[in-house]
Amino acid sequence: MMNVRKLIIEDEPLAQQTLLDFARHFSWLEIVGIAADGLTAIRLIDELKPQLIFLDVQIPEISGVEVLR
Amino acid sequence: MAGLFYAASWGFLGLICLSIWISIRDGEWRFNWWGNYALQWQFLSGLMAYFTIISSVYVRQVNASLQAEERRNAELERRTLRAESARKQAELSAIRSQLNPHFLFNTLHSLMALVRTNSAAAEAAIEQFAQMLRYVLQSQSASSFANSDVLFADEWEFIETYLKLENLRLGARLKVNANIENAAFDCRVPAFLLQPLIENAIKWAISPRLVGGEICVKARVESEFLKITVKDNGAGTMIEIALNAKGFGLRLIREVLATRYGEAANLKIETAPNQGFTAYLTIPAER
Repeated sequence: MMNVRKLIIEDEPLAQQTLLDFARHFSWLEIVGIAADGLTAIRLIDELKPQLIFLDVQIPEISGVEVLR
Repeated sequence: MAGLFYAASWGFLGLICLSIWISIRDGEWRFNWWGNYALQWQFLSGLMAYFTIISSVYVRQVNASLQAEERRNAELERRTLRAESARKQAELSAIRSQLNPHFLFNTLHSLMALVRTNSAAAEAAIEQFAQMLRYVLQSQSASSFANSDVLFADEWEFIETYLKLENLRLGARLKVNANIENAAFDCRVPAFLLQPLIENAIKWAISPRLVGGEICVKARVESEFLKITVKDNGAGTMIEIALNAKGFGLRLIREVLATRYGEAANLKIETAPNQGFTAYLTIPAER
């Protein structure tokens, strides 16, 4: 099965950990990066071209909704 | 006053009548037989008019003083009601802000993650969470406005717990620098006085920035006033925007101060774009 490239966008360390733990259950998920704020998120999305994004709405600098736009 | 004036003019009139009567008696003037009673009639009617005026003036004065008292009572009642409603609002806000679904949700999620990674820390955090809930419930059960006062030491303990729980979520981004004089701890303050300021600082200065920020809290007693400063180094904003903000944190503090202390207490705000946000609280130091 092909790996799905996944990017995590979440600012809170504990929540990041939770998402990482969650992702470990799915061997076909490949975590390509973690972004803790909106600006980094946009840069990483452009750079890494993930197929799946876990996006938190309440993140620093630029909100998740803005990132989505 | 009017009665006195009437009495004086009546006395004067009486003198004139007396002299006329004397002239009649002495035979200078002729008059019919009931003329002898004229003086008595005038005396009686004058007396009646005098009492009428006196009593109407008296009634008016009593009425005025009654109305003044009624106004005072109404004012007192309004103040009590205002104080009561401000207290209710403070309780509500306490429930809405400390225990607002968002805060509960965030904290519970942090706790959930913590349980998995560090169960000892999770246990401590749950204990703190319980402690905070207890403080909220205790201040809620206080039955009168005066009773909703707490020691600043207790309010500060509550704030510290609140900050610790927020720290779970924000990690190193949340820095706190507290400088509180011992004398300040002994002062009595309305419960939840500080919480909206701390919550605002986290919401506007820490949460939206990747680098986070620092909240400085200072409290000292100076010439019988408790002076508290809550300052953050966040993005700040135009002062007009801060004053017209829709949130009711600042408004609530002002209302509580106005009903509890009248003119004696105040909340001043200082902010500008890129200058952070500072709130200065001044309230009478009550021990």
